[in-house]
Amino acid sequence: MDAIELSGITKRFGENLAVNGIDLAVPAGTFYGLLGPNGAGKTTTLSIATGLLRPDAGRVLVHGVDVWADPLTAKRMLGVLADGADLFDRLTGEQLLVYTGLLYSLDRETVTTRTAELIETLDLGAAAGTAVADYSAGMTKKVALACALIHSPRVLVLDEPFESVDPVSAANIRDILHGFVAVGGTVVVSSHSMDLVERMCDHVAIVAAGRVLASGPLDAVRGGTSLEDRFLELVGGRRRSEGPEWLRPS
Amino acid sequence: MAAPELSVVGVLVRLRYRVLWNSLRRSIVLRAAVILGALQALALVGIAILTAVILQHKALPVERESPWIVIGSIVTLGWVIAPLIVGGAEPTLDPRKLARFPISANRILAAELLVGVAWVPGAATLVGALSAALTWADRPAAAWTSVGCAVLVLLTCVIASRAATSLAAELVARRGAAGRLLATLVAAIVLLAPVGIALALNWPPWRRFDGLVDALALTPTGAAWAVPGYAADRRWDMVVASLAVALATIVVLLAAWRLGLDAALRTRGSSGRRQHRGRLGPFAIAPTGAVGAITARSLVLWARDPRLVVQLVIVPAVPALLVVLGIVEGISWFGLVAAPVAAGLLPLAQFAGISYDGTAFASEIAAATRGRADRIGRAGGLLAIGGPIVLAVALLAPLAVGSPERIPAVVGLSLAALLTALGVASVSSAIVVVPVPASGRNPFSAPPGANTTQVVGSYVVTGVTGVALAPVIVLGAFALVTGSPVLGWATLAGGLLWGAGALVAGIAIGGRLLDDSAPELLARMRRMRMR
Repeated sequence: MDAIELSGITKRFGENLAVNGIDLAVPAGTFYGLLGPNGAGKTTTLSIATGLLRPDAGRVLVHGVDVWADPLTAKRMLGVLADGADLFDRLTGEQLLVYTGLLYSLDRETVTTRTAELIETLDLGAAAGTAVADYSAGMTKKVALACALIHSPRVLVLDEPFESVDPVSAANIRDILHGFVAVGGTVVVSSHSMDLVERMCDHVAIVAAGRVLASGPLDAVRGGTSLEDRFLELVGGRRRSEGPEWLRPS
Repeated sequence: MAAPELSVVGVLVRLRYRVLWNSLRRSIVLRAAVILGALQALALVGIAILTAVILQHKALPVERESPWIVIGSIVTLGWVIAPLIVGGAEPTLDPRKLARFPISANRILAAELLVGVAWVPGAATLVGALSAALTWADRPAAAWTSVGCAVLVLLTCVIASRAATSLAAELVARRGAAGRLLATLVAAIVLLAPVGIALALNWPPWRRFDGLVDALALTPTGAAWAVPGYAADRRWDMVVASLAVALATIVVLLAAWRLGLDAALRTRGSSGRRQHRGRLGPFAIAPTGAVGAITARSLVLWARDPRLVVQLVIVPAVPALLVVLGIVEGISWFGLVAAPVAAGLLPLAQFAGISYDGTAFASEIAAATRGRADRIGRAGGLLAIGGPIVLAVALLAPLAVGSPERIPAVVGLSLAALLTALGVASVSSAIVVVPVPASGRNPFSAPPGANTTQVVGSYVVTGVTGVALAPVIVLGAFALVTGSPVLGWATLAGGLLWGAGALVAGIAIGGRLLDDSAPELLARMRRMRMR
């Protein structure tokens, strides 16, 4: 059974058709990369897939459970990192983790142990008592990721998880995610970074202008060339130029 | 070098109006709000002109300048106090946003001043102050003086308003709740103290009215309004004194504003708090589940989020004012209604409470939180903070005005008002989201039109609360007027039952609404945030 199955998803914002009939199947146990240029509809698609945004049409199944018909069961299985979403940033990092754990009705003991472990693993110890409002962008991303993990979901949906995260933390996060997939979990990440996706993911989908242009196992999608070449070929819009005349400090 | 400086100011001013225009194009609610605000301003200007014409007649029982000085002082005070309560300054020119551009504080100051002058309240104040010239149509010298003083009035109002918000924002950002208190105290001392002294020296005001007016004319709030009238009366000593006070006020306020601006340009917004790890606050004792999590979160935010801390000021301020007035004027019923009024106003601040979450509200949707649990958690947080305060005021205010026998009725009315208003807010905040300053922004800033949206929204919510509370108000009024202990205890019991019923109903309705439309609320907030 697929971990996430989107069929016929459409979403319109005013005159802008953000998602135009997307069908996408994420097989269970895969590390799935969602690639696309800015404004391709990645964030909208992931918001719909996690039940944060109601689609105009289409259906979302998480391990066979309809997200909109049975949200409680479906959302227990999902861990979500939404790109650009605010956090309750007047809470300290530790308070935010406990809040999220309690929100998912984990018992007190579980919340306490998992909070401590996540703080160690993601190297948040020094800042655990500081309000999230005072975190750097990378720290904020890490604490948001910890919140997505605390209820031990089966499927992780992460929108731009590595943006502005330092290399050491990024490597730690990658280890966690690979470990999670190795024991049967499913990870979906969206990213701009071809290298990262090519190194990490075993499945990819390329999205542009609200449609899926290609999807499937990594090797099948890139078909002999590099992922970046394949991406540029599919999406188009590449310009060969050395930049404007005046941008050349001599 | 003059040209580039001017052009920076010009760019900033154009930027501000461009942003305003774009947000008006996007939102019909904002358009309606701005039109309503403009109509209100027109009505006030009309009243000012009418007053000016009536005052042309010399046969009136008061000095002709007196109404201008008294009303003018109130207008100036309003410019300072209103943005501190409802959030005023528009944040496009927020110095923190402009800090990374090479723009000097003086130019930001100039641009903000121009923007403050050239908008509905500024224009209304200017026209209102100019209409004073009509009063002295028979004395050209005084009429011309009032034209000049209208400019002084406008400058004083705009600069005072901006100085107050920028200083208050800095204090709140650095000291949290304590800063809020400090800012209120400083504003009160600087502006209200002279008025208070003027009142005290000429007590009671209706018998020594002229003395009071002369004293007001020498306070920062009344000085600029007073000059033309004294010129008309040829009281040159007062002309010189008032003019000196008016000019000094502008200089001092400019310096204060500049101080706040400099501080804002130097520092990033910071919560300024660092606790030890393991200090969980309310989260340490919250039971697991959405209700516990949201109650604890709401408690932490009421203490830590400057945008919410600002709203709590109304709780002590309103009853304190009413009780003081009640004691001074000897009108004891002022003291008796203080607690119920404050109790009814407190939840009003949360009539669109989800707006303050912003997109952080997504955490509840991601966890498939039931709407009812959200409502209970938020109401619980506010009740835990507001309940004890309201109860204390309801117990103490009747004692202060010397009617301890009316305590049961006052407590009953207050709790009924608190619970019913909470019930109404539980429904309204599942329907309405309004633009609010983002977390970490100046809590006194507001998107254009947002003030009017909030004011109109709170009128509606107050009205509904009043209707829902009507039976208890009637019963309580009888109990207070007659002083009957039986009716008093009946108000206490009935009020508690009625309020509890209203809260339960509000939570049920609001919870169901939220279950149906939480993702749509989130989507609306996401669009506001992108603006």
